[in-house]
Formats: sequence, C-alpha cells, structure tokens
Amino acid sequence: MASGEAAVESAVREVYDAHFGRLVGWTTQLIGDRDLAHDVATDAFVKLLTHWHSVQDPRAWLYTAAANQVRDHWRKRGREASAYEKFVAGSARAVDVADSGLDPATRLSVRDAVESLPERFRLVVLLHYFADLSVAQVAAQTGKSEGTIKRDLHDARKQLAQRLEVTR
Amino acid sequence: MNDSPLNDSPLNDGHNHGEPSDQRDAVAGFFAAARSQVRDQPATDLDWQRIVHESRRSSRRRNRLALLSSAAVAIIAIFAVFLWQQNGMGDGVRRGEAIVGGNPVTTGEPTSSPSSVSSAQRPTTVPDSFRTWSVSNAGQSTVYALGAQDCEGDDACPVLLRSGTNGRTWTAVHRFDGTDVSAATGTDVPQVQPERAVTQTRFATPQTGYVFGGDLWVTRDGGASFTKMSHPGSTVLDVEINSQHAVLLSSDNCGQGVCNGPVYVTRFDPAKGTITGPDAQVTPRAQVSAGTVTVQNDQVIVQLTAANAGASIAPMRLDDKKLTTLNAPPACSGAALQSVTPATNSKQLQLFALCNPQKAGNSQTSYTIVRSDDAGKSWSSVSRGALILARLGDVWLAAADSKHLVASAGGPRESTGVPAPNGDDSLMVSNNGGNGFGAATPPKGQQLPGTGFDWTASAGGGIVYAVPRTTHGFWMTSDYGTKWTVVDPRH
Repeated sequence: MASGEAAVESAVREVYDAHFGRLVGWTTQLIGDRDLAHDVATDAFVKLLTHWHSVQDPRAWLYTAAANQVRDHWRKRGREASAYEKFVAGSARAVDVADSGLDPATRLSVRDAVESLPERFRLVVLLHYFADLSVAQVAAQTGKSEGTIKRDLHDARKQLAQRLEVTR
Repeated sequence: MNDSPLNDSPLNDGHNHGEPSDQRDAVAGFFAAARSQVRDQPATDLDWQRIVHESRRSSRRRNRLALLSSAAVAIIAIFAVFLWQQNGMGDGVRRGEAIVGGNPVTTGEPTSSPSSVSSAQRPTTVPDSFRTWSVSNAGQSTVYALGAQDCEGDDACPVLLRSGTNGRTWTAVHRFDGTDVSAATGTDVPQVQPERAVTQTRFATPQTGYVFGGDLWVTRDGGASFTKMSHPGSTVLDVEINSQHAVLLSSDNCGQGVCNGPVYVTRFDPAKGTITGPDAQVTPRAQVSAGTVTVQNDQVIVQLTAANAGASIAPMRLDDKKLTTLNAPPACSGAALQSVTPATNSKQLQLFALCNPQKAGNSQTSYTIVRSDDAGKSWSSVSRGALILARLGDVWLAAADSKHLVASAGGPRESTGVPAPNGDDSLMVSNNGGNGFGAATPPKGQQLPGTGFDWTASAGGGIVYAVPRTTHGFWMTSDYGTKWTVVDPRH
C-alpha cells in the first residue's frame, strides 16, 4: 500500500471513530431502516476516502453526502413508503421505527416536516436544524452565500412553524 | 486539508451563537427534540475494514478501466494500421472512421442502461410556472430555452422549450425528471453543479444540442429525447459551440460548488456521437467555483473563477494541446483579465476583456476595458472607468463586433462589498467599442431585474441574450442593445 494511501486511511479512520456511529443513528432517524442507514453511512465514508484531499470539513461533508442520499431514498420510496413504515411501527420492525424521528408532541416526523417544504429548502433545513451544521458550514457545503442560507432558513422556518401549529 | 478532521464534536459543534437553530422557537425546538432521539450506533473494526476494502476495490476498478481504455486504444491503433497496410490510404481512412464511431447516436455511455437515455416525449404547452435558466440560438429561427417548472411536491423540474419562430411562440419539448435541483434554484445558484444536475443548454443545429449541469446529455431530434454522454472529467462546467466547433470544459474532484481539478478542455464534433480527449488539462492553483469556455474563429479561451475571492486565475488560450496563460496589460494595474469574450461577427478574431475593478460609489464597480486583435498575445487599453456596473455578483461581457458591446452583472451573488439594492446599471450597452457605456433601456412596463443577469451572450448579428434566471422570461435585443424586449415563453 502506498504511504499516501496509508496516511489518508489513517486520517479517515479518526473521522470514522468520531462520527460513523452518530451518522448511522442520524440517518436511521430519517429513513427508519437501520440496515439501509448503515449502508448510506458506509457509502459516505467510502466516498470520503476517495475525495479526502478535496474535503475541507469532513463532518459537514459526510452529513451533506448522507442527506443527499436520504433525499434520494425519500424520492424513490415516495410517500407510500412512509405510510407503510408507520403502519408496521408496532410489528416486527418496531425497533427501527420507534426511532424514526417522530416528535412525541406532534407525531410529525422529521421527514414529514422536511418534505412539507419546497425542494430548495430541504437540504439546508436538514443540514442546519437536524445535522446541527452552522450557517457558514451549510453555505460552504451547498456553494451558496451565507446570506442566501439565512434567507432560505428564515422562509423555511415560517412555513414549518405554520405546519407545526396545525399539527399540534 | 486545511482543517483538522476532529476539530468538532458530533452534532453539537461549529456553532456561533445567533444561529437560527439557537433561537427558542417551535421549529428549533422540534428539531432539537428529534436530534435528542438520535442514538449512536456501533462503529466496529469490521465496518471500517468493509469501507477500506470497498474504497480500494473502486480505486482498482478505476485503474483497471483506465488500463483497459489504454489497451483498447492501442488495439484500435494496431488494427487501423493493419487495415491501412491491407487496403491502402483511401479505403482505410473510411474504415477508420467507422471504427472510431460512425454511428452518430452511440455515446460513450452504455446506451442500453435505462439511466443513460431519456426517452422521446411529446411536445406540450409551456407550463405557467416556467422560469428561464439558459437560452441557446440554434439557427434557422430556432431558439431553445432551458428552465424550471414546478412539479410534484413543490419540486422544480428542468424543462426544455423550443421556438421555431425566433422566440415568438414556444412549446415544451422535454421535461427532465430525477435530476438534482438542490443547487439550481433560488437567487444564488453556484455554477459548479452536482452530479445529475441539468441547468444549461447549447445547441449546434435545430436538431442537435446539449443540456448540462454536472452531467452532459445530447439530443439529435430537436429535444424530443436525450442520451447521456461520457466525457473527460466528472463534472461539466461549460459547453460552447460556434460554427460546428464545440468545446467542453470539465473537471474532476468537484463537490459542494467547487472543483479541485484537473480541469479538462476537449474539442469535439457535435455531428459525432462520442467525446474523446481531452485536448489539454490543467490543475488550477486555487479551488474553482466556475469555469467558462468560448470558441470563435477556431480559438478557444478558458476562464476559471477562483472560489476564494482573494485569489485569481488568469484566462488561458488552447494552443494545440496546451493551455497558454493570457497576461493582462499594464492598463490592468496588476489585476487579472476577466470576462474575456470574442466578437461574434468579426472575420478576424477580436477579443474584449475587463480588468482592474474599482469601487465606484456604495454599490457599483468600475472596470477597465481592453482589446486584443492577436488572440490575447497582446492587449490595448480601450477605456478606464467608462464601464460602471451595479455590484450584483459575476460580470459578463458580450461583443457582437468591434463597436457593439453589452455588459451585465448578476449570477452567483457572492460579491465582495455592499451589493446593489436593485438592478439599476446591471445591463450596460456600448456602441463605440467600449469607450463609453449607457444603461440599457427596459421595454415599456418592465423593470431591470432586481438581482441582475446571470448570463449574457452575443448570438451573432445584432442579437444579444441576457438571462436573469430568477424570472419567467429573458431579455433579448436584435439591434445590438438599442431596443430590448422581454421574451416570456409562457405567452
């Protein structure tokens, strides 16, 4: 193994130790399937190894990569899947679905909340509010200015507040 | 790597106070509660070994593919030499063309894969929600407009419109479902788009053209169907076509709105089904947030925008297989050339460029205009401070000929300094070769778009397009900028 490759693997291993478990848990909360969440996180780390030299902020990069895969998954599965997952919450997959992001007060899942927003707000909301990335980190990951991210979050917050109000 | 990978702890880091998620409101509370339910999962050595194994396997696969490609090229070359020896020059050349890809529909991607073909669609009326992103004049009174329409679930879908009447009437010819529009909407759109994005269009003829963003797709039936094309680099930055000479600008190692290169420049023939190459490549010394290419009189000019506002990358000219830096003249006071553009109607290549941006008032910037008649080897100063543009982001320059120029400001709006409060002075016209500029007069009942123009180009003759990207229509002039109309494809 080339020494450069070894150095990259060693650096990414540190990131893995710090973030992999949390990333799987975070993704599980969004898609309600631990095995699939594990695959998403694994894929994000495989890509991180490949792109290591161009990555400035590994944690923000990993959550962005995972969030994009989660959105793809939502798109593919559609809303029927969400309904089905709620339906089976009390049966064999209860372990996974119990952690599927349902707010006990509102019974609104993170997915429901995020998907109620226009497409352009979804990634920034996921990254800022749910992955807890700062506005600057979200701006860096999405290639937009901080002003735009703040504006998008402001608009998204107004819409979400209404949605939460209705749900309660 | 600038940052230590572990300079933050999971899920509660990187925050300054005053972040929206720090506010004590219902939304922040909702997500905080959801975050508190996240449970860490085990991170085992076995999982790590799987990640490393998969990464090495993909790396080997890429290397093997590169080796196989080299071997295939060598075999084709040997076979071509063999045919030439067997059949003589005349017959052999024809067969060589057939080997390299005579079928115009074949692409570098396996066309049998469902994801590489977007099947033919029936034309429909233009959706009311259409907003223009990109415009291309295909000749013979045919104009294409790529933009977005609302689709299911508040998503935006790219849709291609076609006009056979020079913009008077339009039909929607192809909608692209399943593309990544996460970075393509809003008022601050990065030019480096993610994989699967489609945000720009360029047409070579009324039948043959391209849409691109991160990906590159070709149509050969006037936009009815599209086929994904393989090309050098992973991400397409720009495509330009002039008189059937086409050039692709692409890059590797792109993500989240920036590219680290290498950046590839590839000439290709739109009549052929494959893009080989590249002709030249360069690894930029700074991260790149945008790249544009122009082709005119067989000269190709490449311009890369550094992601860091403090850095600059000089434009380059493609000389056979290498890229030559275009140095700015003393009139630019040490600043790099920017917005290099060729005059589209000139028989001899004439290049115009801007440089030396200077603050002019609270929200405007003035520029020096320079001109080159020897493909950028030397430059002469045309005017200093005659062009004053609203500070709204990127600056575009379009030249129809040696007299008629149009400049605009807008695009990705990460401008330094105070941005302009409105679109005044975002579209400027010169009819004396850049010695003086006047503000474009909006058509009756229209105002200049508040966020300026994202893209401006001369399409030959007196036609210039200026695309705000945030509005339904785009701006167009047929008389070098004296009179402008707003073309709204919905009407």
